Amino acid sequence: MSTEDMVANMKDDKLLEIKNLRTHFHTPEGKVRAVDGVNLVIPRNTSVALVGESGSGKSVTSKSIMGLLPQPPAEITGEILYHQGDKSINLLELDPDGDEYSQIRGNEISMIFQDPMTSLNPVFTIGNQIMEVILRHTDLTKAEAKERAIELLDKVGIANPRQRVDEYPHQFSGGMRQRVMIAIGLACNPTLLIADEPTTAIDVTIQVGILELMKELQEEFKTSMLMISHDLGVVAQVADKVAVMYLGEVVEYGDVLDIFHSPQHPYTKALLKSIPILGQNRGREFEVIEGTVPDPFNIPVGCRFQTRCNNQCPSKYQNPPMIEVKPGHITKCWLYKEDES
Amino acid sequence: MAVELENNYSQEDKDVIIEIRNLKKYFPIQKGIFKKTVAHVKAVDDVSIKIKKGETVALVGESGCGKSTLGRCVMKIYDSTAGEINYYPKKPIKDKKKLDIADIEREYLAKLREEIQMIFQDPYSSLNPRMNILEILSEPFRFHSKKWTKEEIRDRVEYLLEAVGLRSSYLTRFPHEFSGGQLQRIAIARALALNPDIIVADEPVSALDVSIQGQIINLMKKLQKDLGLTYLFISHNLALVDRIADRIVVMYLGKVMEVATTSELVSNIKHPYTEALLSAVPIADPTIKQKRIILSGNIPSPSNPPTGCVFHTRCPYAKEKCKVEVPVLQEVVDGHQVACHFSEKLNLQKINL
Amino acid sequence: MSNEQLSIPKDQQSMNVVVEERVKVESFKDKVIRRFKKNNLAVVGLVLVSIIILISLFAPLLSPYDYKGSKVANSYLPPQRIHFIDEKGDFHLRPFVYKLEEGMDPDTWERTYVEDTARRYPINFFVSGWSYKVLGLFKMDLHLFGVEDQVTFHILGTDQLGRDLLSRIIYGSRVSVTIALLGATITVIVGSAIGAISGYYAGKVDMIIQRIIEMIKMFPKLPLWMALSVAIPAEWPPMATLTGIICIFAFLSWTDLAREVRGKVLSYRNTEFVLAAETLGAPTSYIIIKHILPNALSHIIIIGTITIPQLVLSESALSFLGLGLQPPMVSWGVLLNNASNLQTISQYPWLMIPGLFILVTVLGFNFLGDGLRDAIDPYGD
Repeated sequence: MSTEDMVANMKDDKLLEIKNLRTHFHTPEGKVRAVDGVNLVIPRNTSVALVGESGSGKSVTSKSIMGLLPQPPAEITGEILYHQGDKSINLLELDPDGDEYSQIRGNEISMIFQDPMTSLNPVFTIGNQIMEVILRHTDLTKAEAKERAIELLDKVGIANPRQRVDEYPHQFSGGMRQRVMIAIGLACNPTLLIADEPTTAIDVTIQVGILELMKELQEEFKTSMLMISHDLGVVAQVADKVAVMYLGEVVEYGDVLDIFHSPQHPYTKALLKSIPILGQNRGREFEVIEGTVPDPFNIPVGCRFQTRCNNQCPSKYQNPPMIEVKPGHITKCWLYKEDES
Repeated sequence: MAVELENNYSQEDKDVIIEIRNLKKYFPIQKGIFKKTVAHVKAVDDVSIKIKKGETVALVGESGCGKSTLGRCVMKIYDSTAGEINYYPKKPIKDKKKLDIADIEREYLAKLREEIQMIFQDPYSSLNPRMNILEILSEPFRFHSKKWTKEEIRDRVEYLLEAVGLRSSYLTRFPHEFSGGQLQRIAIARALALNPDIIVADEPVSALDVSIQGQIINLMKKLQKDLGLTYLFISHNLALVDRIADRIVVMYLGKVMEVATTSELVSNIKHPYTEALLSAVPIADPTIKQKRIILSGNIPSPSNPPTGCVFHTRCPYAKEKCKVEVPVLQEVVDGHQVACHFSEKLNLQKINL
Repeated sequence: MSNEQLSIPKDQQSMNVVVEERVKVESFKDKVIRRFKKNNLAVVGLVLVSIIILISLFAPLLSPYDYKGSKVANSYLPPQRIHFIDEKGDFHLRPFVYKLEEGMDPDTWERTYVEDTARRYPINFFVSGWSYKVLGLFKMDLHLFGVEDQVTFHILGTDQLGRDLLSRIIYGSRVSVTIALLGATITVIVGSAIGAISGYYAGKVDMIIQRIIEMIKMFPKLPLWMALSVAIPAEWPPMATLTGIICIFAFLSWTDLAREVRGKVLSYRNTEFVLAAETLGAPTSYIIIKHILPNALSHIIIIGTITIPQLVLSESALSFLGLGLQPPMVSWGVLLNNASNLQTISQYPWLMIPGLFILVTVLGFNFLGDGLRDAIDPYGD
């Protein structure tokens, strides 16, 4: 069974289906295959975490979904199927600068970014920035949009929303700004919210509140979330499903419990072992993953993880197949080929 | 208004290598054409800490707590506003057994620089992109009191490079040719060049990939063991600090909230802020659902800190006294200090292990 | 303190020696060169600038006539035609000229010149002609091209005193280019130094220097030049006047560079590698020279290159107005000054050709400067 079929057969109510996504960049030094064959499903009303380190391609994946990469220098192939009710559109067939995509962006699929300090425009009020999204995608009048903005600010936990709606970003702290970003992201009741490292730049005691908020809102609005993060603690607490990426490919995908408690791919296993967990292994040496991530111009032939894997695989020079370890849990590794029945 | 430390780690006083006493660092806020000072950012506000030889002491806290500023005061990058930073070198420096870094004379400053070195957070900006590795690693020797020949420097530099796990063929390369982890190794090699006693590490792995962090920490630990280094480890990552530190100093808004050995701190929390901080760390195990304490409000600005106990605006247990009176950092259990009026009465939740 | 005191056991097994694949990475210099080559205008600029500099270096070699040599009999000769095809229609590989016969137009009483096609005078290369001193030391009389003696060979015509315009333009290039290059060099050195001090020390020092810069910039350029150039005593020998002019320009143009450098220094001042150098005990001068300025170098080069055409124009303007350089010094501005009357424009238009040279030089340096900037800093730091 091909990876596409495996993913297609997953019994979830699919919202977004990514098939064989390849995003390559043409640079003077050569072609960078940032995303090279990603297959992923984001079900309805589910949080999917995209986990990976630098060079994994997780950010590029999210930007490919949002149509934020100019082509050239990017070259994007594959399918990103967005299932809207009865219809399905392939986002990659749409013109990224066109009206149809603009209709979807911000309205049905929205995105929040990592650094709240720089993602808000300093010369417009918070209210203005929320209203901008609302006015663009709905027929509400300015006054109605403002009411909705105040409502949203209240929902994301900002005190005195009626007064604060007219304030400027610099009058808000980092955590508050991220809440505002979430308000903007949810303003039009999107079906999918993409969050790119939403809590990385925020203090940990503030992060608690933001994560709680995101979970509550997801419950209430029934929004799906694609969360990109390198913080496995956050992922464990927030995600329903996890996709682990390495060097442009998804190497493992499954339920959050399966990924954390029975990881299959050597990279996933090593990653989980290499991070510190509060209260565990105090004073002990870290178990590290040998070596470094290969540079994008020197991607190993065959299995991309071979340069750092502890297992000796005879077939490592060939591209490993995606194996279904159990329904809903897949991994791209030669080790499990024989086990497959 | 000096806050005197009672009950020091008395039996091991002779092992103290750095003693910070009532340290303050205020940054003036100036307004207007004539740059009048209207207020101060109280980055470090009356901090006292003792660091023993060979220890790893971690400074933890969130934005505005002053941990970075404190590190820089120890490095004499900043001139402190008040207080002492007493350094007790292994061997007397020009006959002096104790040097106050906060108030040091020029002639001793050069010597001091050889003994206390720093590793910065972002290796891409702490190494000059226009210099190759040999030049970067040779720099410390230019300002050393002893005169080095080119060959001596070259030998030592190659040795340092190997000690941090890199090949000597890398000497001709430039920083942009390396990954973050490798660069940080080079930064560590640079810090070790003149065989210092103490290393101040300011978020040394925060800018690195998660799986590389462990590599660098292992390296730092090994070097500490082999060279007898003392680390002042500044970090916001509590899980990391729990793994490697001997003692943890929890800071908030320029003040010390709690000090204890790592295991003691985690299993016997005495300060409400520490309780909230530790409960906020998301645990990488989906089956453990923590009871998270969500603090009300935001972190106040250090230019306008709350009166009394600086934490009272967000503390779930705050009472009237907390708004008025500044709590004194006191030892409640052997080696465990807290700055809270009600620490003995509070029964704070333990970490779910 | 030797290696023995640093007792790290050579047990490499416990250390994760990082395996690194050799990566082909473009160095900064290669990147700059590649980007520059792709930019056509930049390459054109480089070619033009090289030509101009070569011309000024080899001025005596290239001038068919002595620029000072006047022959009133040949005054106001129009540019001579260079032929490849002769009267009979034959093509000759070697270009040639005809002797000019002076005549008079019977109707207008104007002087006319007719070519005497009886004899061809081929242009020879590497001929001997008037003699000159190389570097003031030894005499030479080699010239790149010329014709037999006695035959007039004025490719660009002559001026009022019969002096060959081409030769004067070539010699003029020396002066104009020298002023521009020397002036730019002084500007760069002075501007960088002051800018670096201003940026590094900040505070009061910075404030004072910035106010001084503003005061200098306040003055309208032209009147200031005029005042300063009049202040140069007329009795001074030409070289001294030249130096004086260069100093005046440098004095007025260092301000922009200083500001740029200050900005760069301010931004690099607080980077961590500067901080790291401080913690290693490096003195301020070392930090500025070794750490900060090399990072500002690209900007300095760019501004320096842009200053050069500015100075060319400034000198030309000043000399054109009759201030600045005086005869017998020749610069393009002086040449243009000679051409600044109605008679010239209507009857002897070739005397305005020096303006063309100014144009080409300025364009060349501008293209070069722009190209350098785009190659070094494509994203506009």
